[in-house]
Amino acid sequence: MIGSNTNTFSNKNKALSQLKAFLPLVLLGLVFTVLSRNFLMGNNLITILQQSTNIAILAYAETMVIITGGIDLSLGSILGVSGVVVGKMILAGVPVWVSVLAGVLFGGFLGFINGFVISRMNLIPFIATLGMQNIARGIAYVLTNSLPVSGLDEELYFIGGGNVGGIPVPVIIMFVLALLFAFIMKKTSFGRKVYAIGSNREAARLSGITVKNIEMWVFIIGGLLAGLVGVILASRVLSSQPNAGIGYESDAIAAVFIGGTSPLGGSGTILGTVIGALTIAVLKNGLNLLQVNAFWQQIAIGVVIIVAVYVDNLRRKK
Amino acid sequence: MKEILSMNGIVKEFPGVKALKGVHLDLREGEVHALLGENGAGKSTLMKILTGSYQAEAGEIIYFGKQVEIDNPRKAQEMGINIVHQEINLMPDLTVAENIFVGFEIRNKRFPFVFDFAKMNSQAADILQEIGLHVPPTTITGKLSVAQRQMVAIARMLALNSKIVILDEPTAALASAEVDTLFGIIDKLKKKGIGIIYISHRLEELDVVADRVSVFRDGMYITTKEYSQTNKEELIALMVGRKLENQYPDHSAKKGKEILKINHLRTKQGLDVRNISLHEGEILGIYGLVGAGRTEFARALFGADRAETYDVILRGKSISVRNTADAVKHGLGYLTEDRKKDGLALGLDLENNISLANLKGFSRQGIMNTRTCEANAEEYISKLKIVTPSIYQFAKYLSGGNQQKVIIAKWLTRNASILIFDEPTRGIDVGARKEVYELLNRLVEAGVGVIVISSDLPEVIGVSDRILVMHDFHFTGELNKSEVTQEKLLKMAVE
Amino acid sequence: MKRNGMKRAVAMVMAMGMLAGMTLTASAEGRTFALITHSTQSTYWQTLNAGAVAAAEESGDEIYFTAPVNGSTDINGQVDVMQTCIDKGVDGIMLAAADVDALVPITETAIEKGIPVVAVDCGLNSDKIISSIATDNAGAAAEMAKKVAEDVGEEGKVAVISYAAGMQTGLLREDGFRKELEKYPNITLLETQFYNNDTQKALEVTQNLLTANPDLKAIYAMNEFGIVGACRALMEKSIDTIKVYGFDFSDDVLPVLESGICAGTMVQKPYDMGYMGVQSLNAYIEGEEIEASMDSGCVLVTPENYQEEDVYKVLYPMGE
Repeated sequence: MIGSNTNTFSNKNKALSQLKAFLPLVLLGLVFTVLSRNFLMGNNLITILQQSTNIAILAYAETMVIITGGIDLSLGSILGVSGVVVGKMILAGVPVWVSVLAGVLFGGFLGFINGFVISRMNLIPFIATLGMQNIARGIAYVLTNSLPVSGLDEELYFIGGGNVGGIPVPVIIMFVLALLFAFIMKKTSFGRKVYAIGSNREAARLSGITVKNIEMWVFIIGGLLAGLVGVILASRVLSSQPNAGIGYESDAIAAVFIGGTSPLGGSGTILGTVIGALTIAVLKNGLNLLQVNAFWQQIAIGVVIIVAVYVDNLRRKK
Repeated sequence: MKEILSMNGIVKEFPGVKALKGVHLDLREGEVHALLGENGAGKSTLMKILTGSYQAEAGEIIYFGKQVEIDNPRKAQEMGINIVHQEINLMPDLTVAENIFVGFEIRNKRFPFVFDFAKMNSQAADILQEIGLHVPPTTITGKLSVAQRQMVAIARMLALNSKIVILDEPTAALASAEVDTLFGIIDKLKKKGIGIIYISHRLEELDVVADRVSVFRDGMYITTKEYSQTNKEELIALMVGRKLENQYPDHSAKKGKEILKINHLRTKQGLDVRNISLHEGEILGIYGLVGAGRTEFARALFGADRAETYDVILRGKSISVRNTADAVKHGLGYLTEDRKKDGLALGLDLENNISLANLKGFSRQGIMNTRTCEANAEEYISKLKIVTPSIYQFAKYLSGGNQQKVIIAKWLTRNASILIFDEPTRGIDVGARKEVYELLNRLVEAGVGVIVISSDLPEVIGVSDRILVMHDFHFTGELNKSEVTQEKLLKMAVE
Repeated sequence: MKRNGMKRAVAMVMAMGMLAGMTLTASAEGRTFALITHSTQSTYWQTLNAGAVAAAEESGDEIYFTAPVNGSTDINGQVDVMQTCIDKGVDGIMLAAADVDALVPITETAIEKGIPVVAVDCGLNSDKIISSIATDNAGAAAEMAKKVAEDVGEEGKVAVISYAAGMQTGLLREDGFRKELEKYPNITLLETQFYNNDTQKALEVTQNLLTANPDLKAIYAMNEFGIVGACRALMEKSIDTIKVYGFDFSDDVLPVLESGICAGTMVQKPYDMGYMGVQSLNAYIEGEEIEASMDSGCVLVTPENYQEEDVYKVLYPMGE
């Protein structure tokens, strides 16, 4: 029969194509190493990891959401308001770890609202999370009267500012979560359902999968992870800023696309997302070390997104 | 009759594939020339070259005696070569007149950048009158039925002074009354001297409408014959390269006890079905024309659409199905009409697709046992003879027949006990169809309940032991294999 | 006869009472002044408002406190807000301009409509405003520079971080600082890095500065978000040899001041600014002469002096 392509990609080649995603990262690394003698220092590499944690953790959630064909614009705002909740509770005398848990769960609750509106009320994710983006941020400002929640307990400092054996705690969290989510996506029935829904929602439903529930869960996970990042940020400065996290979801989404996830849904990996987050962090860090104006950094990130997705499209067409 | 088109020695290559190996086609003024061949024979590739979408690597096109280059679709249209696609490509938000003239709008004489809608509407009205479509030219196209939209597409052919009209599977979505109307229009086109290339799998229709027929196979031109001088068996043999004996094999199962009884199934859309039963050992066929409600019935039974009343007894027990998960749990399986749209996840590999309905069975505490999944997939690839380099091949790269087998494997993996097939051989070529029919037989022999929905009259008669006929969302009749004829079925489908 | 006379007397008393009441309320009915700042979202602006409100309460006036939603970089937003206040017909405006040139046209429109305008916190390039009440940012910056120079032994690298480019206050603070340090040839000033008024970003920028300049001796931050971010970055790495200096105060600055990593911050007196602003407006409306520019003053707060009573009053003018 005509069309018996011998060159077609199959899933076995996935590992190889993943390594290709490392290319822009390695390339950037080489460029900066040459241009700045401070880049490759151990200290700086740890700093880069540290600077990628917030984006990476949010990006794990965005990866799942985008694979199912949706998007979440509210993670930055959920992050902010969760941090505020933690701060207020600590100041009210609630033990630190209980407050942290409450903050994370509050984020999960907002994620649940997103999921409910999207899966039960049939609003498209873009619109629903755009609404939540504003609502959550507004709640943060209302709760704090726009002022930071200051003077938080020293006990909170460990999760954001502490380190274990020289490695900052958030970096450890980032890697543990990376392993966890990679496992979930590759080896659990939940992960398979996420990919199936993104690849063909109706076919998944007609195979007996309860699509609405999975959609609900990916947004709940988003809220929980955003809550966690809110805690980390508040912990680092021992203060909950109501405007924390503005725009973070954009960087997270950029990391997801740079890492090779298709904007149409149905494919993408956590490893790719980690690479994407590192790429952005390396870019920002390198340009910073070279004393490049902060606004040029923004242009650079935009260019990297376009180039990375374009290259990925070429790879797919083959 | 004058020859208006001659394509000679056309070669078309894609990376790794030779789609056309030096083919030939000629067309006379006022004739209907049928183009036959299995899926992948090269028919649509050749048509793409004729309409300017592709460029041939070698060969010549002679049009009205002159050699021409058809560089792009616009040039083809300017030359008078036009095609009505299977999925009629009209813009639903534009009016009929606008669709008829899109790209070639009549402009105001003094201000050429202004369209002359009045003239377009009036010319459109004339053409519509001529072909017998009685709607105002200002009707929004999206509001018309499929058959009416097809007529609009044909009206466009006339408006653009086409000399060659290509019809690609024109009757696929039409009811028989509409098919008659279409043939009437084709007659009118012929009388105007327009040459028609007619691509279709429905050999019975070609009996009525074709003058000559050319057969392609595997990118090669086989032969051209006057239709009156050949017959169906010969044509099929030429298409397939061998004589197909016994298109519809028999099965050895005997009708046994009742395994499914639908007491009452009703939906808000008007589906109202009572007293339908399915027995072990019989293939139950469901026939009906487009719009009869067959797919709606299947979807309601399978929980894909909400049913107001769902009174169904499965193997003696009353079941409740409010969604697809319930249906799957009870052992129902549904193979949809449109594989690409909702049958397969084309972007996932075979193993993923085959395991998709049985994720719970392959996992413990939510963690997948990949090895079991892979072994299962390998097993079905060999059992069902699925042609693929590996279980990791993405589903989109498989041929139609193999894709259908993957979906069957999915439901067998789930140990579905009742399978509903909706148009099981759509888009599958003649050779692979027989394999599907044999699979149906093996299923029913193994005790699986099999329901086959089909709009292909010979197929539903050849495959089923018992046929139910649907019309207007109700079942209107029942016939056994022994007493069924095409006329009887058609009659029931139309009443 | 007598009854009619009684009715008339009662009517007259009531009428006089009403008149008296009306005149009393008329004089008790105060003015409405608009206070338009960069944003309503920081301790600084809220303190400025508090000062204005305190003065307003004393004179029986009201303050309408507002700012553009998108913060200090939203110049057009501030122009819109000014327009709204003009339309509302306020009696006077105190304006902390987002841009000292861009806000001039709308300000002069307000003045032409009879609404006097006082510039607070930073100036405005118009000679039609009645007064300008601000911190002498340039002078304060120079004073801070002197302290920095002294603390680093008049030699070494100093980093400068600012909240956003092009903001007048920031520019004044930066220029004043750089000019003063030109007098010390052995001090190297690095190029300014920006942190978008975001504490987290200030933290990251500082991390990178430390990597690029391991021999850094001091960091100068343009406002409280920069101070907190820079200090936290240092504390994370347990570096106590580098000190942070800057402007402004918030509750977040208190812990870093206590730890000594922040060695000094210039705290303005926004409370006084607001108070003086309302007073000037009332004075002007009542025909008195007022000065064209007033310095609301500032205090250099250090780990050594922040607990002294009068310093504390500047930090928490409204109590804690």
